[in-house]
Amino acid sequence: MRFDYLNLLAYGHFTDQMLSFDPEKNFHLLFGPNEAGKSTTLRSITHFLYGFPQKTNDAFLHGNTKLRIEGLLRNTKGEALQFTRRKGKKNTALDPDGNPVPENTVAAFLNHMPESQFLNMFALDHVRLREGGESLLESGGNAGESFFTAASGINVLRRVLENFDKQAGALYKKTGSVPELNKLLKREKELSKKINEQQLKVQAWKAFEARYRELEKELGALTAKIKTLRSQKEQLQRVKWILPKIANRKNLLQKLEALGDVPDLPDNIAEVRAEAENKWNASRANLDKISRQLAGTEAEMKEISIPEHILEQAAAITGLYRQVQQYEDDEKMLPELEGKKQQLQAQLMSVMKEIDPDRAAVENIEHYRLPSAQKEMIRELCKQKPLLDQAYESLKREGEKLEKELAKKLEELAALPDLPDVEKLEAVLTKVNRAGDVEAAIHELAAECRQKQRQVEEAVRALPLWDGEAEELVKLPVPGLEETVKKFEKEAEQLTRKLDSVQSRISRLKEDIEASEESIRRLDSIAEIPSEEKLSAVRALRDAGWQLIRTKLETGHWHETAETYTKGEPAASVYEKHVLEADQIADTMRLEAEKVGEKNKLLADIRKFRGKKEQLEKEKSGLEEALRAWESAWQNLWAPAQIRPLTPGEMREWLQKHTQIKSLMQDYEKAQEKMRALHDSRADCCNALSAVLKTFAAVSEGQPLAELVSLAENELKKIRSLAAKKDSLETAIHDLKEKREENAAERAEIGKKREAWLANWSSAVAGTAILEEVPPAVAESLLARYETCMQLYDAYNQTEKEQQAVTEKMARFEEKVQHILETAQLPLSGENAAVAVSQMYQLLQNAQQDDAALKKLKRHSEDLENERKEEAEALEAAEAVLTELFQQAGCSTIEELKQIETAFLLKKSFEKEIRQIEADMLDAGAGKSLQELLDEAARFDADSIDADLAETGRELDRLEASRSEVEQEYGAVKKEYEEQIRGANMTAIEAGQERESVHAQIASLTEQYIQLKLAAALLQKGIEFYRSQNQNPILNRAGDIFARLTLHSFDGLAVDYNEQDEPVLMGVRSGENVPLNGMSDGTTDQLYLSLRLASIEKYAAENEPLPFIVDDILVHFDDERSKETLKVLLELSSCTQIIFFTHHQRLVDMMQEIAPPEAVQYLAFHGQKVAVH
Amino acid sequence: MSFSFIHAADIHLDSPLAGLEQYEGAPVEKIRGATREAFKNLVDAAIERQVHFLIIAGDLYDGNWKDYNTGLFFTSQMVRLQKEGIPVFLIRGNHDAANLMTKSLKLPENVHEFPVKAPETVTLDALGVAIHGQGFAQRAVEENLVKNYPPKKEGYFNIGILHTSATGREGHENYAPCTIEDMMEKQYDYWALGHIHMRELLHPHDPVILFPGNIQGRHIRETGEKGCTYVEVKDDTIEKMEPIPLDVLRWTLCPVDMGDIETMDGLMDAARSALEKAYGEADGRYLAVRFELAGATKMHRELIAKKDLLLNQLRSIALETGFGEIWVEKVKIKTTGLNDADAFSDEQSPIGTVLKFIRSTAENEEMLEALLDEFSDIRQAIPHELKEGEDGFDFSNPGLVKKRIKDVEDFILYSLTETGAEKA
Repeated sequence: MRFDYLNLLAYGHFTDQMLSFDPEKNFHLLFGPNEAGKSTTLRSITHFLYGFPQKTNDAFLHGNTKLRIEGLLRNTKGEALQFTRRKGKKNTALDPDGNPVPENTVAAFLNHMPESQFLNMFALDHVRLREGGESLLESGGNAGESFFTAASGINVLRRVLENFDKQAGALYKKTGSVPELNKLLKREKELSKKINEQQLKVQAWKAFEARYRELEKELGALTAKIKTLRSQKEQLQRVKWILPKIANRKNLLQKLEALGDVPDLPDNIAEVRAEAENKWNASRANLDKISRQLAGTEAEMKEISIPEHILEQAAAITGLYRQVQQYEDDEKMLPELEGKKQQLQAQLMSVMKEIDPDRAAVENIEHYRLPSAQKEMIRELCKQKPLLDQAYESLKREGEKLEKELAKKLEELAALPDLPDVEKLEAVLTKVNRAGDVEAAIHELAAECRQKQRQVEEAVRALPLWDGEAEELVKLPVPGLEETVKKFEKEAEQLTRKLDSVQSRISRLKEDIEASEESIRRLDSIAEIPSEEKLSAVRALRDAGWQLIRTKLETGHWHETAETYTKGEPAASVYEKHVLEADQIADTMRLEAEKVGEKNKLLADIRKFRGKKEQLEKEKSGLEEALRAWESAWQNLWAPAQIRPLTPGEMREWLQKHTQIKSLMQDYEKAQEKMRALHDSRADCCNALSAVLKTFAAVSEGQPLAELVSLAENELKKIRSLAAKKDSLETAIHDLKEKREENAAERAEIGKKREAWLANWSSAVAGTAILEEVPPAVAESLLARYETCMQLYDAYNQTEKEQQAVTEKMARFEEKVQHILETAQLPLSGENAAVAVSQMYQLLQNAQQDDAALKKLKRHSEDLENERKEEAEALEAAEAVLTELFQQAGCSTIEELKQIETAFLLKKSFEKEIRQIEADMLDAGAGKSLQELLDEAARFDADSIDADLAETGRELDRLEASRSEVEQEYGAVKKEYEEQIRGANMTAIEAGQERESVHAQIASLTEQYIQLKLAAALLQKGIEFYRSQNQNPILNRAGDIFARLTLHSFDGLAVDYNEQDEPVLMGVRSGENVPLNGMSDGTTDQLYLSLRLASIEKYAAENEPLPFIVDDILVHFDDERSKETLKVLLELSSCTQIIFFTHHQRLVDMMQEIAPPEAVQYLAFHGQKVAVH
Repeated sequence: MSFSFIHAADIHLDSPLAGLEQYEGAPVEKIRGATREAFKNLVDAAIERQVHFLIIAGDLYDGNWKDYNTGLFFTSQMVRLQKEGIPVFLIRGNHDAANLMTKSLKLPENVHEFPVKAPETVTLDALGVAIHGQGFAQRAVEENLVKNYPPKKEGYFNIGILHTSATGREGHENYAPCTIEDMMEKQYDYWALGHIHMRELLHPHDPVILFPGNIQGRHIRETGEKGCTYVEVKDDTIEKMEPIPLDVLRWTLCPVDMGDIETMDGLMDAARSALEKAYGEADGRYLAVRFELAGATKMHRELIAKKDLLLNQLRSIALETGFGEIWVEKVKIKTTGLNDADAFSDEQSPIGTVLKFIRSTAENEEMLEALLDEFSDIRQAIPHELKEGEDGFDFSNPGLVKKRIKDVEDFILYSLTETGAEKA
């Protein structure tokens, strides 16, 4: 298949971009600079063939739906397929009428090769080339992998294989605990163990259940026994306890009988009787005491009398008494107020007189009151006056000062001289300075030149084979290329090595010959070994004898030759001797057969060795001849330089030194050149400076540059300082003039303000005692007097009012006092109201005290009367109680009553004790009646009870202890039984579930493991199969290409076996196999390319060829190798279309150099022809 | 006379659920003792509906499970029924016959176990019911047990209990075979069968012949609803037969058609909606799901090579969808490629040559045998349970390699091309 054309209708930044592939040519070189769209064009090829990927970066100019690539494919059968590719999911290939082209039709043109495979095999760039080289190295040259990788373009093969192994290893290792499967298998074993341990076995359960039942029974028996014993013990204890009670009861019953008949009395008789007796006695005593107290109280009450009219006025008298103090204060204050009033009047008059003596009188006070507005106006104007005056004065002083300063500056300006123009001087000086420190540079360079010169001379002296000048040496026509010398060196080395090898082989052969000859001698020395020839000779003699004898026997005559045979001896003995001799030789040979063989072998070896030696000697003389030829070529190489060369190695070193000298020489010359330039620059500077300086100062011819520069700089500095001074004066004068004008304007303004003030003042003071001409300070003081005058008048008025109020208050008080005196008819004088009130108050207090005392006595008397009544009632009640008791006891005195009472109480006490004892017995009697208890106690022997009780107690303790033991055990077993009987223990079941999960995991990981192991094994076997099928054809062709691409540094390729007996790919150099790790990077790249090209060639020969897309693969190749590669590619293009992309013009040039114009089509990315040089 | 009963079978108490790999987010804790929970559900249902009796038609236990706790648990559940006055009629199935527990367990008085040597008839006179049954004496019973069953008892509602494979069912051993005609001949009213784990009504009436299925699925071949059947009888006529679901965890297949799916994201979307559907149908039960990806897709090789990644992604989708109640059992890849892989074999290209070779090994017994050597180590290591059965790893059989060759080929092809090829 080949492309006839490709049109990027809408793709990337291209619109309607036509790439027309010349049908007459099969090699298309597409050239374009960087950024011209090389990679876009490259991409378009696969997108056209296989469709756009889902995501594309090429839809920025034309949207996804607009993307279109059109093209025409043609196969070797001449069938053509023209279609347009659009982006989409289905029907993306369209024929010229817009109908969908089945994807299978397109695929048929591509041999149904999938996109990834097409890219791997038929697209190659320098990155993938380098990757390929590296992958060959990584595989260690493994022949199968190398062939497959290079042929398929699948550079990841090694990584894929390693990955399979690594992943399988992570899953399972025969010995290991870390891989996942190993962990799971361990867990599986643990779980199986756990299940077995945790399962409840049938037998275990049965045994357990039996144990539970047994314990239950044992516990029941024990409990019953304990119960019986315990009741026995209780009975014994009861009887033991009851016996003393019975005895006590009997005793009490006897005492009761002894008391005889006693009348019934209340149970609390003693208390009742004592209480009644005591109460009667107490009441009698109390009644006497109360009668005495009542008589005393009556007497006290009669002695008190009360003045009623004073008590009636009590409130009024108390009110007045409280006001007395105020009244006395007022009395004192009246004269004080009068004095104050007169003092104020005098002050007022004095102030009024100060203001206006004519009208000074209290009646005229209204004339002295000024309105507030007027007062404020006068005060404001007083404040303004001094400010206006001050401003006016200060402006006037400033004006005078300005005038003086201006006059001084003008004078200074007139004194300054005229200034010359310095522009040109400045320009020249700048130029000189820009040129830098020329003198110092010259000095430094001179030193450098001298040093360089010395270096050159030193190097030339040290160079062997030369004693001339450096300049001549540099011009000497020596061989230019180190490579050439290297080539001679290599040739000489090869020749010498070969010669040595031949020589040593000859020596070895000589030694071999000698050794063989020595062996023969040794064999012969042991015993003479008859040779085959000798045996034949003796047998011939024997046979001749037999012929003679036979003839004689048949014919009866001796043959004529008999004589010569027998030599006179009897024929029979001669014959017999020969027979014997032949047999002896044959026997010897048979016996010594091994030695015979050995000797024969040695003889043959010697012949062979000699032949080989001759051949080698011929080879040796050939090599010597070659060495001589080499020597003369070597001498010729140096002839133009008239130098007798030493060895190539030495001469390579000589050449390097020569090159160094040349470069030193160039440095030296460059430095000298720079020096001359500097001298010129210095002269220019001097001339320019002295020319311009002449107008300012005296300059002498040949003055050094530095001096000239400093002279110029001084001049310039002087002139610049004068100019600056002048500028500053002019500025100052200008400023002063401006200030003078401002001052005049301000003065006029102030004048206007002063006139306005005067008008205001006149109107403000009109109608007052203030005169227009008085200064503001005086006016202000007058204003203050006005105010004082008004304040004094106000104070005078106030005092007068107070005096009136006090007088009225005193009069009202005196009136009230008089009124009470009359109403209460008191015999007091009202002359001094204060004294009268005090006396009244004293009388009132006495009356009140008497009244209170009388009331208290009355209340006391009533209380006593009540007490007397109560006591009389109590006495009666006590008498009634006692009478009742006498009746019950059947007696009449209190003493008789007391005796009967004692007997009664004793009887009560005995009865109570007996009841208590009986109750206690019933309590302890476990429900038995009193009589039953008495009967039961009667049955026991009191003396043996304690012993019986102890025995029963011991038996009980024993049984209790064993029950506790059994109970504990039963409790534990029961708890476990109750837990287990539900079957709720799921430990084994859960372990079973987990084991099932682990099985599932193991199964799933084993599945993965199998897949990985199979993948690794099958892929390796498959690759080995591929190698076995393809090695021979590809190896030979790839070897040829490899030799060419390495410029015959290698002769070809071979497959050899490594230490593991694996087939390994090797390069062949000078008859020796070189492993891949002995090759440089570049060489492995070339090896990869060779295998790749050979595979493509094979593929194209066996299938419909597919275009080979090459993208700048020659980046790392030197020119020679690039040229060779292009040639190989050109050859390949005879069987398949090659589209070659490059950025490099040099490749275009190279192609034109090596290829006939009819073989290659040159295209730019823009479809135009490439500029051909 | 009206009465009701429940018919259940194949309890397989305490047998573990198979094929569930534990992983982060799987409801490991929640499904512990699933068969127990299902059995409790059965007893609950009997009590709740106050049935007159319960029939269990064989296979209470798993044959190789020997934990007596299982028997005790069973008894404790029977005691619950005893307290409610519900009798239980059961027979031994093939699994029970092999289990030690069956023989040694003392059952409460409300549980009647039929003999194994000959059929027996129990009559419930108050209800007018006659129940005939015979259990398995040993694991493999190959005779037709029905033949010996007594004729129907006149005037009674006759029920036959039998553990049988009937006329044979895939995936179940062929025990106590019999035909529908054999059973009909007895003129019973109801045949309560057990052994087949899939619910199946063999005959709809006169008599009803029914496999109720097992009560809890235990692996992915036992999918869908599992439970017992509730039967109501009025005047000797069956009025109602209602399946009651009892399962705690439901097994479901989740098929995903890959026909139109081209990306991993698309696959995840399709898987999510399939899963949501299945989860909705499970009625709040825990779910064990197997994804089955089928159809021709260009993702085929990617799926095979990235199976692990795929499984993890599907698990995380299950976690999102089921809030930790869905267990992804496995992802089965049944897809095929579009067709490019086949085209390689017609080619002389290097990779085509290698693939052709790999394919040829499938037919090369000698080569397959040689490949088995790769597994000599792991063959010793993995537990024998995993080497048995249809899906077991039989490392002595070249078929083990042969049936994987197609997938391995796709795996190799993916590894070599998809990861290595640079897109221009």
